[in-house]
Amino acid sequence: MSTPKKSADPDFAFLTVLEDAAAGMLGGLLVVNRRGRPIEFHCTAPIRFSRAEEILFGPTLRPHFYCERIGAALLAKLSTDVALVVVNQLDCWPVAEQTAKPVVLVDPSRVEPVNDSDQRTGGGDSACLDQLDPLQRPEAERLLAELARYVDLSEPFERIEEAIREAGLLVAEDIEHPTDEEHYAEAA
Amino acid sequence: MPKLPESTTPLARVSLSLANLAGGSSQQSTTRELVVTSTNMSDAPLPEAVSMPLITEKVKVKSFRFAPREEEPAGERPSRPRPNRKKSKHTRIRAPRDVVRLEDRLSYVLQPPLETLLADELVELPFTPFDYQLDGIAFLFPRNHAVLADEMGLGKTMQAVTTTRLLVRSKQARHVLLVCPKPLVTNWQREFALWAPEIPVTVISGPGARREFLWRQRAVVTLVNYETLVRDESIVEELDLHFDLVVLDESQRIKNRSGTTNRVVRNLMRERSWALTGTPIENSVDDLVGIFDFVSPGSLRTGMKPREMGRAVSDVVLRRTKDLVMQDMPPKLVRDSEIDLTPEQWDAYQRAENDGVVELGELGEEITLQHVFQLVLRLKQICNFDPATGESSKRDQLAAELEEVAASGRKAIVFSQWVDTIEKLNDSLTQFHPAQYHGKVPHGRRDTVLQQFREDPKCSVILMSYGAGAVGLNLQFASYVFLFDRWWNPAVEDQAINRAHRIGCAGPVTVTRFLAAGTIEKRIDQILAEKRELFDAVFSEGRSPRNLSLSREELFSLFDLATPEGRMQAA
Repeated sequence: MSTPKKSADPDFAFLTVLEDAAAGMLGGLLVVNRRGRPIEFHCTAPIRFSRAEEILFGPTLRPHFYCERIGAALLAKLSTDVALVVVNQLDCWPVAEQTAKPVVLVDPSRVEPVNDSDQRTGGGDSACLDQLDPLQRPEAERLLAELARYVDLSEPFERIEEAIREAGLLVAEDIEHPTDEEHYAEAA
Repeated sequence: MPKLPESTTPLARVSLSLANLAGGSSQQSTTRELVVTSTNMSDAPLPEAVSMPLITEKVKVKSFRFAPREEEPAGERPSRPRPNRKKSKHTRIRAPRDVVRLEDRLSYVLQPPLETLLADELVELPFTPFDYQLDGIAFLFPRNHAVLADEMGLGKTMQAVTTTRLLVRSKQARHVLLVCPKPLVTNWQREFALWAPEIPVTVISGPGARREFLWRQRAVVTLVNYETLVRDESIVEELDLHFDLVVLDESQRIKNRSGTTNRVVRNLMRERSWALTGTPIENSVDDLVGIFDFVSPGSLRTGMKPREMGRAVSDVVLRRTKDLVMQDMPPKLVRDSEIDLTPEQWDAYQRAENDGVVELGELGEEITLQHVFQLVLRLKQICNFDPATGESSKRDQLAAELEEVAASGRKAIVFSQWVDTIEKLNDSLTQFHPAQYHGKVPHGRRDTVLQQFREDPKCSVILMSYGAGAVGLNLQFASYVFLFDRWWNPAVEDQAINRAHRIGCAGPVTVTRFLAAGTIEKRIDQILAEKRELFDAVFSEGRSPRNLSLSREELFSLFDLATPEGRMQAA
């Protein structure tokens, strides 16, 4: 559900999923304006997968939970008409199927290029646009360049984790970052 | 249910209730079915199908929305590229403990890091702040009640000015009152011009009618000294002035809870109350209670145990020391120089002490603190200069050391308790072109004196009184500090030393404390040395703080005198 913005300034959604050994999987979605100021924040209650789900979903378990369940639930709560959705996990990337907005993956250095046409923005925190429709890419690049003037692309994800921690939803002191290398290896 | 390809035949339908398997809730769930299929196996007998629904629990989402912040329209100002901060740390603004609602706490947590706010082209800074200074700004920014108690020289002024700037820019503060000691008014003006040049500062000064006019202006930042604020109490009251933020600099000024200054600042109508001080505990832990009467009334009370007090203020007080945050800062070398008095001085000293003690003894039960204090002062003055001949072994020693200072092209600060001593030194150290900075120098001329010391290469030394020069001045270009005589309180001496040993000092700072051997100065020094160690007692665990200045008993004990309550042991 989204409301068109009056201003021409684009807003951006940052979506990530955290895994807490005790609590389970939690998703967070932070919407910021082009200066990085928060507009909306949504987080999910923790959910856990069962052993049966782990067996049956196999390598598709995390993409399913991250995108079809957590990501979809979060995106459904959006009330801002965001211009771009930024994710920082490979398993979150398929959330593009849940929204008409372009979805880009930040910090693609941790992901092997999918093919030769893989496009990445420049700068300190580059983003991978590979899954975008070629027609969407120029606009996405422009938006990312606009955002990157004020915000480190990976920084809002720190805020999401802080906020989820502040909300008392995380139990463990050190959460498992699902972007760990072995996780990608498993997904591959 | 998924549609099967035409070439396949269902072998079995197995519906799995995964939620049930996992022991989860079946409320608000949807069911999927897994279909096990086989090709060309129509002859095989069909096994019994067991359905196990695949339940997907609905994900609960909690949402927070934030009020849009007023921002200047895009394109009005020239933008500047964001500095590369990829590897730098992000300083978070965290909610104070007294913010309870989760939504309010998240509104702090979800703000961009301080580096992003400051790097915004709307808040350009002349220099990049140190990390600990950013931490200090992040500490002050969200707090209605705060004491920034950093050690002298760490930049409390810059942190307060920059935070004020952020509050003003974000329209969280429209009227700010800044109260400081009179000698520091121009220093604050300079700091605002440097760190927040776009914010107008109005200084309350001049005759009554002019001051009233200035108060009525309702400037963004109003700067006033403590004495003027006390004098204008009725004006502030009549005008019903309300401030979004009141900052007290050198807030130890209000430590006396029954004092007029304490009462006047407490009565100011305000939203936020901040206190800045390098010496939150100057004399005793009760000083902190006086400061908290303004900052957060009721948080502290006299008689609280130090540990209890520490807990009560832990979220409101931020104190960092140079050792902690400036590990790459040049060292401070402190040495005590014990000096033998000249024969003339020694004779005069012994006569004065013997006669004085006899006189005090004769007073019997009428003896007061004032009597003892006068004797101490007389003896300390003799340690500086012989009253009859003007001889001074300290002066001779100082002159010898200044030769070296001047020859190396460096500069020195000399502190004394007495203007009289400073004037005598001035007359006998003319070869070093000394500058003088003390109570007799008019306020209008003081900046010129400092400029002369800073810029005149011939001017190798500035002679300062503790009273006028110990606080607020930035003299980090001086490499040497001499304490010609000792103050009663180590915190004030530290303040004095830190005029030179502060951020920006290019090399090590050498501090020389003159002590006349075998005299009362040595005895006082022993007591002060013990007190210095106890300075931070309230912020450490479990140690009992004591009064940091000389107590009544300690003063009496200097001469092995009896107080009306009984004989005290000599120090």
